[in-house]
Amino acid sequence: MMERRVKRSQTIDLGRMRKQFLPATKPLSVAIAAASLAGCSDDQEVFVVSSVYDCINQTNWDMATCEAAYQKAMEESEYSEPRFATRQDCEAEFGFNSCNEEFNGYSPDMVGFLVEEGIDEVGDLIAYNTLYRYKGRHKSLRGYVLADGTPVLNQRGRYFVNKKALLTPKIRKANTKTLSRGGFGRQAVAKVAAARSASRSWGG
Amino acid sequence: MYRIPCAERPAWQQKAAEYGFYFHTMYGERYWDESAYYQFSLQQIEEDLEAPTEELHQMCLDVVERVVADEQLLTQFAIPEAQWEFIRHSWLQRDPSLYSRLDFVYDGKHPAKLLENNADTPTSLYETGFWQWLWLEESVDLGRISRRADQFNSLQEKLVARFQHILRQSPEQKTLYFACCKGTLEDRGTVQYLEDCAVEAGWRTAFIFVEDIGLNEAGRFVDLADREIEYLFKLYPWEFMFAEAYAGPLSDSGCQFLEPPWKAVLSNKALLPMLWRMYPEHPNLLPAYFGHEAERLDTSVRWVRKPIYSREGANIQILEQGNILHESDGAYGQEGYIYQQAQILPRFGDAYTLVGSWLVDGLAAGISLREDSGPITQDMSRFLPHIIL
Repeated sequence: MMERRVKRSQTIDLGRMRKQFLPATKPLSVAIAAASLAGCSDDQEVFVVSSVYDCINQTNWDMATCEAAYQKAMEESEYSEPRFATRQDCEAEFGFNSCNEEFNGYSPDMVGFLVEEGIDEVGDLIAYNTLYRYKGRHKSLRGYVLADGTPVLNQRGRYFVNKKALLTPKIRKANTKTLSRGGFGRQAVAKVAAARSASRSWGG
Repeated sequence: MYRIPCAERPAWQQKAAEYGFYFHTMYGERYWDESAYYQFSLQQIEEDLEAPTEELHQMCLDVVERVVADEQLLTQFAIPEAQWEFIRHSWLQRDPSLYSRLDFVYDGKHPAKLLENNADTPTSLYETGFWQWLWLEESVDLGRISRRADQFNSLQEKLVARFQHILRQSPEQKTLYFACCKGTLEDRGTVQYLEDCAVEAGWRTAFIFVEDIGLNEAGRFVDLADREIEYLFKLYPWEFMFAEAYAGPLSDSGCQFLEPPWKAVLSNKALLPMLWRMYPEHPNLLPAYFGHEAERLDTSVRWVRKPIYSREGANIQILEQGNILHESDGAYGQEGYIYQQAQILPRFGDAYTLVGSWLVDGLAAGISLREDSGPITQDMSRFLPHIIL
């Protein structure tokens, strides 16, 4: 018999397609274990703050800078917060009543943020990361963690975190200020207003 | 090509929830419809749809080549002059494209005729690439469809491969942002699907709503955390972007786009008269003319007047000897119109059927079938699966 040419995708990984399993997210306990093995020579002191006012109290920054850092941390959390398939999975790591349903899974409450100031050749930088409180089965790791599971070490009230974990969300203090938002999207609004019935999609 | 009624899979709605297919029913009406499927022969697929799809795509690229170099044509395509260089540049440096969908009138007997090319923001991707694929797998397992049945649908496989190819071409690893407008679950789902494909291909990805994109002092587009957006997939039409506040900064933004700017030439109804001019009498084309060529219309047949920019069947008129037979509403048409000879969609039972033929870059990658109760496919048409047997 002649072999048939197959016209469809040969295999699709169904586990990957299930939105309740979110395979792209690393299991948090694995990330924590990996991070804690990394050693402490790269640790950097940071400020752990629970609110804008806490930030003003603990650092020498003004209200505007602390607000900006808080805003950035909130926005950052949309991209990088830990996600779980089910509420149970999330609560197993972050505690009862500490998780919320999001667009594609469950995420723990953000309990604060950390800030760290640095300077490079172009000028001032502020690193900001969102903080979560880990309450899972790894007892020695319980406490503040970053979104990727990196633990924040508490040494008599001073906090330290692996420098590498601080790299991504760094923003420049001055220099490239965002001037505006919302320069795209108006046409969609105008077309909806003009159409008799609401359109579902901007594609076709 | 047959339309075959069949039983729905038990509790498929639960499965849809499990896989995150949220828009199978919209405004109380079914969109995904598995109470029937279409059956094609392999010959119909390969000779009538697959081969013409790839050939037409090459013809479309010839149109781009010609239009970007001709100011008069760019004007006829209603592309703002301020964007000509941006589009030309993206074509000359061969900015990679991802996908498109050609819509065909096809009845299984006569040559498929191109109605239009959704080259910029085609949707119904997830339903095609994954959901109808899963339907076939499960229907075969349930014993309702022959084990020998296949489907013209390598869309997901080809998308992942294409993302891998584009990733390998990028000299540095950028984060690929995915964007759509707020308030449409369908678009959000489509973009999530593409993001999943990109992740599988090894991309680092992020999501942002179109309305949340910002502009910084350096003229770069930024996300909500003020990080620069260097590569953006936008499920948002170029012609909208060209008419908005950030149109000016586009060309100097340093951002690379999917689909690339040159797709603005293809997702434009002016493509149709241009194809007919360059390839007259091609078996897969319908006669088409620009708005100013109305005197060339053969009045013994019906014509469809379409706005140069329009979506989902808006602002379409069907004309017979200059009289309007049928008209659809909408907010398009300020940019001008084109005429295309009317070819009424075939009817299978009560429904009018449209065949969407997908391309990933230049490769035919599968089909989707949509049914509508009227002869113009609108937003609320239903999506049906298909098999090859």
